[in-house]
Amino acid sequence: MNPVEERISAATRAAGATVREVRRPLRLPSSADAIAEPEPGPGSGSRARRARHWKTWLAPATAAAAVIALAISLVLIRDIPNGRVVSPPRPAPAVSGVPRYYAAVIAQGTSNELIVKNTFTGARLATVTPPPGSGFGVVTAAADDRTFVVAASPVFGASGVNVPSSSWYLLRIAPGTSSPARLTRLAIPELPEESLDALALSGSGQELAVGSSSRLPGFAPSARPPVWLRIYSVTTGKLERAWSTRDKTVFAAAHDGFAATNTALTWVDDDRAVAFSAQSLVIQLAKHREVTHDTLRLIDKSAADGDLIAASRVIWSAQSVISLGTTPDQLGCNFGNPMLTANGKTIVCAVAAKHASPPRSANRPPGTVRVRWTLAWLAYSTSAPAVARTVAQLGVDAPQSNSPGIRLLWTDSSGGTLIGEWSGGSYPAPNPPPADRSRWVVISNGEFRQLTTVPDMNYILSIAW
Amino acid sequence: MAASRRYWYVDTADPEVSPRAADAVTALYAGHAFGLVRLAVIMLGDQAAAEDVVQDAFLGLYRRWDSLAEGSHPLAYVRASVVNGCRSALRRQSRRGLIAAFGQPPAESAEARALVSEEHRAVVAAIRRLPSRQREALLLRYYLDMSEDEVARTMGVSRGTVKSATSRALAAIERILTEES
Repeated sequence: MNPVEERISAATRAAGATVREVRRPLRLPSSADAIAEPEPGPGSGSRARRARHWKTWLAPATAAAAVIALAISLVLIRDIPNGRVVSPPRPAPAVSGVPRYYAAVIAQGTSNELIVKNTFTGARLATVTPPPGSGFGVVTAAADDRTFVVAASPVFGASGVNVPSSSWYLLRIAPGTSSPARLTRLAIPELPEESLDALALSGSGQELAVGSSSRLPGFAPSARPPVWLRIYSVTTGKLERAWSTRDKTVFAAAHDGFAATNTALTWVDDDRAVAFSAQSLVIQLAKHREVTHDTLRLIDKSAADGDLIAASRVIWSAQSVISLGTTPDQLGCNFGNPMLTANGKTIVCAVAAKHASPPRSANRPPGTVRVRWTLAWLAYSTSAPAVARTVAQLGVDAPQSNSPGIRLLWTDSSGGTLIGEWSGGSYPAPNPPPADRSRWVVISNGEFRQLTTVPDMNYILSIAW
Repeated sequence: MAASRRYWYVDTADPEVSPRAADAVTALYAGHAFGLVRLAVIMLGDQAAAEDVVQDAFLGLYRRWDSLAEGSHPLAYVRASVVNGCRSALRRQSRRGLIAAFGQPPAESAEARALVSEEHRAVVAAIRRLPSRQREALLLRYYLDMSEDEVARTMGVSRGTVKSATSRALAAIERILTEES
């Protein structure tokens, strides 16, 4: 697509994404004779009197639509006395062990807002606007389903890009009360002259791990920018630990453009240690095709301040590749950061494997060729870190020009239950949805359960459970 | 290797099921109303009007269920009805003066305004200034990612018409955006 086509595609999808639900149920009268003449469709003239044989063909298609609709739990279909009603989306049943609430930073003009929603119903519990002149950046959650910490930065210009100098806010939620959300500024000092890379609130909500670096615009490219990992007390704001390194692989994959991440740092072992990610490029095969070396290191909170690398140890490493015809368990973790679970025993991550492209055909216009991908969530045991276990996987057909997406959004303390996101697949013909539509799934015991309400991830900068 | 590998593909179907018309139309609505409302909102800029159009399209399908020709595609029928319905709605709005000025944005919710960036709004506003055929061709091609043949079938025109409408639309959009930047 040329730039104008890309702008049209992006703009129309953004406009379409403002529709969050269909508010009106379909009402069909009990007798077709009573229906007023609707807008004529195609072929409503002479063809209207032709044979009805098509219904035998239509049945499988409509049945497929029905099965799909049920399978993805989008709607509830029921009868009422005066006609048929399709209700608005039904809330997905809660899944044991999955937090009921999440907080997300959403792009909102030049200042990003924080919203709190119910994971299963999508109901918005609270919307928190940032302090004047600032925007929220990355959010992280404690294990109690009630406590979050969010970073905020001054904003400038119309781009809404956050500049360094993060300040910190505690968000506590109290569903069902008259004050469901309360935001308070934390005493943790700002990060002047540093770029926030990664953030993780401890399970207890008492400590905040902050990964940062001097990767600032204008920083001399020949220098090896220092990277810091600091731990602060949430209650007092006091700096408890600080380690640094000039190893440029640390948090190298944390930054995605200007957005920091809450997946490159995880608290483990009852908040006694912190795992952090590092990544280095092994070989660039082509644009968007590369082999990287991913590493997870673990540092004990009791380790003395000083060198981050010396004080930590490698607990897992793998080469991550995007390669044609490779099975997912040979891919390392090629989509997003690998995350160590809170019990310290399992590394979970997401991968995508691209199958060979179909041969070019003159009969297939550009944009209609679709490529098969296998998307998977993998788990590695720290006791056998070289062996990948496939937690769940799915196959999708994506447009050749548009790779699908997969992410790990949350894991429980053992890796037994995950929340993942995937996009870019297609439902079967005849109506593939826009390729960038995201789906969230809860994966537990190898079973998928699709969440009914999925925010448009194009607008979500950070999300935490 | 995986100890308990599971696969999940979305494309499941039971060809033995033979639903009645109401069941079939209801199922189609369940699976596709959301996407069609989104398409209509982009065309009309108003969700209530968009839902009207989509509702009418499904009613039309239901009403013609027994008379549609062999080989007809119910979803294609509904989609084309939505496109036709949007065209008619815009005509009605125009006659009533709801879109009084060239390019005046239709009503949008506050949330929609907040969620769509200035850049995207400018592009969508430009699309809404296009003649109906160009606008439809553009949206079907770049929003629904249809091929030219599919667009042609949906609009009931030739592939050549789609090509020329799309080409003119792209040129017009580029011109409008350049003028306004």
